[in-house]
Amino acid sequence: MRTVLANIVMAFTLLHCQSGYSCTALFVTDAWIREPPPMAKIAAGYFAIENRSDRELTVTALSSNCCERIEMHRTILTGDRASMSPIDELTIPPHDTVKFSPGGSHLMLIHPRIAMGQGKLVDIEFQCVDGAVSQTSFEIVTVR
Amino acid sequence: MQPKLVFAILIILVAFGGGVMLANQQNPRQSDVNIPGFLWPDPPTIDSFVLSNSDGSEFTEAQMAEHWTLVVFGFTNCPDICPTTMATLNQLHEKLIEDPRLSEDLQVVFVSVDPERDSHEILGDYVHYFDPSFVGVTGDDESLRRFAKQFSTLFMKVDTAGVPGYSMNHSASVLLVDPALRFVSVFSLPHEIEDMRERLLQIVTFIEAAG
Repeated sequence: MRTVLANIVMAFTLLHCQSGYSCTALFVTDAWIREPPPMAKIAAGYFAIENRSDRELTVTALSSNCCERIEMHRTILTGDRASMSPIDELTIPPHDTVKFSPGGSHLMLIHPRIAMGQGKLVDIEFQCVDGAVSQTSFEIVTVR
Repeated sequence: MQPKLVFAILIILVAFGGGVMLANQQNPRQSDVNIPGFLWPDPPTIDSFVLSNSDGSEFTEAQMAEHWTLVVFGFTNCPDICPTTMATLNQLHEKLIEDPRLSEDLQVVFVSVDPERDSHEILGDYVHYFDPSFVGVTGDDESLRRFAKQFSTLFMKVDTAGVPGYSMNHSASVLLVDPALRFVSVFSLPHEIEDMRERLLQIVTFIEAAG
């Protein structure tokens, strides 16, 4: 009976891994936050996220103690007009990298709760479809 | 042909040629330059306007006259494109003021299209974070729209589902006004600092030669 149960657990685990939902196959690099001007109620974060699995992976939410809320947005240029569009879910194709960079996709860190000064590290959690969480440190960088 | 006549014709030809060369130097034509974004000939002239400086004073066309002015529209709750552009303008400004023609006469004006949230204090802190010399201005909706229209641009308030409540769609271009209050150039994205510097200096040279 114990062997049967062990096999069932192992099969479930393998199935779960093969489903590709786990955040453990996601690798975040070049993670930084633009130091916001004083009194700014919003900051922007940038990074590259690589999916090292054979399945597409989806980030559904981000969170941190640094601020009230974190959203993903994309800057859209239509002619010379800039507008922003929310990204509800971020899907990374297998063995591919998606970049968030200035003038394009970015994290919107809304209502900071901490002083966001140059050099400070901010931990941000990426939550995947299955609820699994991966944490990454973002460095605050002055760009002006 | 009489030698005197030949000499006279030569004199006339040399004088005519010299005159043409001088005229070309003093009155360069559009065909003489190929500068992307340069609105020449017949750049639109900026009409009178009244906006509000972050220090509380009026900001009108009088503050732009006799200056080269880089104008950019935005709002301080803009997390991505506005600070990216402002950082670019700060670095561009540092390079441009090395030129003696611009060291005293170049200004950067950030026009907030979000007067509802951008108080004078917030606006001042925002622009001075990038450079203490930068000017932050705003105004009521009608004044801002009239000013934006002079640059053939619009802005729009857009409701968002997130915490900020709303966002503003606006021009992402950098606009150049010359000391004669003529809107002479548009710098569209992407904003490469060295490219902008070269184009702007070419425009200054061209317009100063045009008189």
